[in-house]
Amino acid sequence: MGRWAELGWVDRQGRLHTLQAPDGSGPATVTAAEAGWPSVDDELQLRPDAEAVYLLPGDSGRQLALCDLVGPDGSESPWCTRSVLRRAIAKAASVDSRVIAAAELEFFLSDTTTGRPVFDTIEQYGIVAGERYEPVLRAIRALRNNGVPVTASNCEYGGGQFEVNLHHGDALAAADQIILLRSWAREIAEGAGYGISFDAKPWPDNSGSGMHFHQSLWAGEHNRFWSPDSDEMSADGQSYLAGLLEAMPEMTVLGSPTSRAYLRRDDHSFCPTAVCWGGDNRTVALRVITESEAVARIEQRDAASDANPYLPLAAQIIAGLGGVERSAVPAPMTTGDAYSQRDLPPLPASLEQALALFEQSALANELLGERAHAAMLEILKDEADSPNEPARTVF
Amino acid sequence: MASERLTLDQLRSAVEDGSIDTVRVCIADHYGMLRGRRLVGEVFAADPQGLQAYCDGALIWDVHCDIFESTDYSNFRTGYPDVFARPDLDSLIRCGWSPGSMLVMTEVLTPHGERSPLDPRGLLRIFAELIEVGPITASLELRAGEGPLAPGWQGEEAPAFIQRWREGIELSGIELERLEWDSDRAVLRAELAPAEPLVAADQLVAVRSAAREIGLVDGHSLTAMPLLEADQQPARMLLSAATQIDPEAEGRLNDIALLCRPLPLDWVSAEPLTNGIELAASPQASPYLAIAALVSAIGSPHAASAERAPSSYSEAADQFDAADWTREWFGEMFVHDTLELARREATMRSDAAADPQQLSDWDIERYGEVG
Repeated sequence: MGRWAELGWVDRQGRLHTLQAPDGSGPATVTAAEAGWPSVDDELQLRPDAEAVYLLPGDSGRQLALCDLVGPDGSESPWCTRSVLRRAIAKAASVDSRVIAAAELEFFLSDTTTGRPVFDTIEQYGIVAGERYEPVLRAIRALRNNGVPVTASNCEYGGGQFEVNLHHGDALAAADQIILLRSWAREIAEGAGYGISFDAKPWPDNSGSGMHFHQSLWAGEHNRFWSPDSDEMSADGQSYLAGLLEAMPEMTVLGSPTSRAYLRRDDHSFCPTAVCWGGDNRTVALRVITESEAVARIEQRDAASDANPYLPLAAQIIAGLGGVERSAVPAPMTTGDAYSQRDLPPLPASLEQALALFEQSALANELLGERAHAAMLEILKDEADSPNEPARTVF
Repeated sequence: MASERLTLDQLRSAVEDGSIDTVRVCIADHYGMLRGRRLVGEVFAADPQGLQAYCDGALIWDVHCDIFESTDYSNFRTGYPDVFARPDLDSLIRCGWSPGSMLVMTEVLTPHGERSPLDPRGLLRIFAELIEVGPITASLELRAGEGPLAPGWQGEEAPAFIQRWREGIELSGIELERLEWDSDRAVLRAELAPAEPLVAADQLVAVRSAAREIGLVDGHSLTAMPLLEADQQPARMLLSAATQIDPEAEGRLNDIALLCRPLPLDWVSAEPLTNGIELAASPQASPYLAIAALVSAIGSPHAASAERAPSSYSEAADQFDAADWTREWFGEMFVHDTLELARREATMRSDAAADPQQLSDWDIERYGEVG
C-alpha cells in the first residue's frame, strides 16, 4: 500500500470511485452499501491490483491502482463485480485459455444549457461535423498516454453521438479501461463545458448507445476460434458461440440493467432484438469475424453503454466456455435482415422480461453467487417496479 | 504539381516529435463529404496500410446519412456489412486548418479485396488511368452572406476568414491560385493550381472541408448550397481539363449531368452545364464524381444518348437512366443506386411541398450542411 497516489474501486453500476491511498495505517475500506448493494451490511477492503495501475490524467505524474473489493479477512467478496470477471477469466485459464477482448463504446455530448445533443443531425463518420468537438475527442484519445489504449474515435449514428475504439487486450484490462474511460471522459467533457452521457437511450428521439464486446480465446499464440482450413470458425469457436447464444436471454439484464436500456431495443435500430448470429451482419446479436487468425473473433452487440462492463463480459465468457465444455452446436447462421425474421427467438424486450429469465438462471447464480444474484434481483426489480424514470448513472 | 504530399517518414517523425497526434482515415461519400475515423497518430504510424472497416452504407446513404432499402449495394437485407478502407499513402496531407492532424484518403475494398463499385474515388481512379485528359483546373465557390445559415456574416469577416482558410490550405501543401470573397455574389471562391484528376478531387474535398470546419469552429455556418435565394446566381464548382469539352463530350455530359449536380437545388437555377471549356458542377457535388463525369465525357467513345441538356432534376435522373453507355462505364449497381438516391430525394422534396423553383426553410435544413 502506498505505492500509488490513489486507489480506484468500482461499484455495482460500474462507476469508478477513488480515494487517496492510505499512509500505511491500515487498508482502505468501503461498505457494501456504498458499493451499490444497499441491503448488505458487509464491510469491504480495497485490495490494489498491481497489474492494473494507470497514470492519472493531468501532469501530476500520480498513479491510480484499481482494486478488488475483498472481505475483512482478505477473502473474495460477492460484492465485487471486478472479481466476477476475474473468476470467469480464471475459468478460461483452467482450460489453458486467455480471453482477449476489446470494446467499442458509444456516448453523446450534449449542450449543458439546452440538455440536448450538441448537434441534431446524423453525422456518422462525419469528419467536418466532428471537428468542433475535437478538443474533447482529442483529449479522450490522448488517454492512451494514461494506459487506456484508445485507438480512434468517430461520429456515430445519432445526433451528437460519438464512438471510441479501444485496442484489444486481456479481458480484465479491457473492462477496467472502460471504467476509466467513462470516468475520465466525463471529466474531459465537463471541463470543456459539455455534458456527456453514456446512457443506453438518453433521448427517445435519438439513437441508443451500445457497448460491443469483441472476444476471442487464445491458447498461447493460437486463436482457438480460428480454423485454418475453412472460412468458418473452429469447432471451439462454434461451441463458444453456441454457449453465448444459449445464455443470451437470461444474461441480458447484466448488459441492460435499466428499464431505459430496453428503449434501445427496436427493429432496425442496430441493437439486436433476437437471439441469432451471422457473419458480417449488423442486424444480428453476435457478429462472427473469421478473416484471419489475428482477427477471428465474436462481437457481442447486445450490451448498453451504461452497463457495468465486468458483468456482461464475465457472463459472456462463462457462457461461451460452457458451450465449449459441452461441445455445443450453434443454431444455423442468420443471413439477411434479422429484424424481419420473426421466427428467431426474441431477446427480452423489457427489464421485467429480462429479470424473469435472470431470476431462473442457474448460470447467473453460478456467475454471481447466490447472495449477489438475489441482491441484484431485488435492486433491479425495485427499479422495474418504480413508476419514476430511472436515475441516470453518472460515471 | 500543385500539391505537397507527405511521406511516411515525415508522418512518423511528426508523430514522434508530437506535432501530429491524429490521422483522419477517410472515405468520401456520394456527395464527396469526408467520412472516417480519427486515429491516434502513433496507431496509424505503426500500421499505415492497415484497413479501417466502415459500414458499407456510408457509400450510398443520403445527405443525412439516412439508409434505405431500395438501393442494391447497402440495405438491411445484406446486413450493412463492412467495407475496408486501405490508406492511399500518396494522398497523405497535413490538415493545415486543424493543428495536429493529418488526412489520408483511402481505396475502398469489398471483403474480397476488390474495389467497391460504389466508391466514387475508386471510380475516378479507374477513369483517370484509362483516359488522359491532362491536369484539371478547379475552383470552388462557397456561399456566405446574410441568411439563416450565416447569421451575422456581413462580409467584413471575410478577410479574417480567408486568411485562416488560406493558411490552412497552404499548410496542407495545396497550391492556390487565388482565394477571394466576392461581395457582389456573396461567395467565397478558391481557385486551385492545376493537378492530376485524382489529386484535384482530393484537394477540392480538403479545401471544402477546411472551409466548413473553420466556419463551424468559428461560428460561421458557411454552406456549399449553390444558392440561398432563388434569384441568386448559383455558386459553382468549376472544372476544366487540358482537353476541351467538344460538342460530343458535351452531349455525354448531358447524359451524366446528375453526377455534376446531384441535388434538387442544383436545378433551381439551371445554367448551362458547360461553355465548352469548363464544367459548371455544383459545390455540393462529389468532386470525385464530377471529375469522373468530366473525364468520361471527354474520353468515352460512345455517342451521347440525350439530345439536349436536362433542364430539371428529374430530367437529369431520367437521362442518366436512359443513356446507353453509363452502365458500362459506371457499373450497373452504381447507376441503379445513384438513381434510387436521386429519385428518393426528389420525392422527399416534393412531399415537403417545396416549390421546385423556390427555396424554403426545408431546403436549408436539408441541404445546408452538405459538402
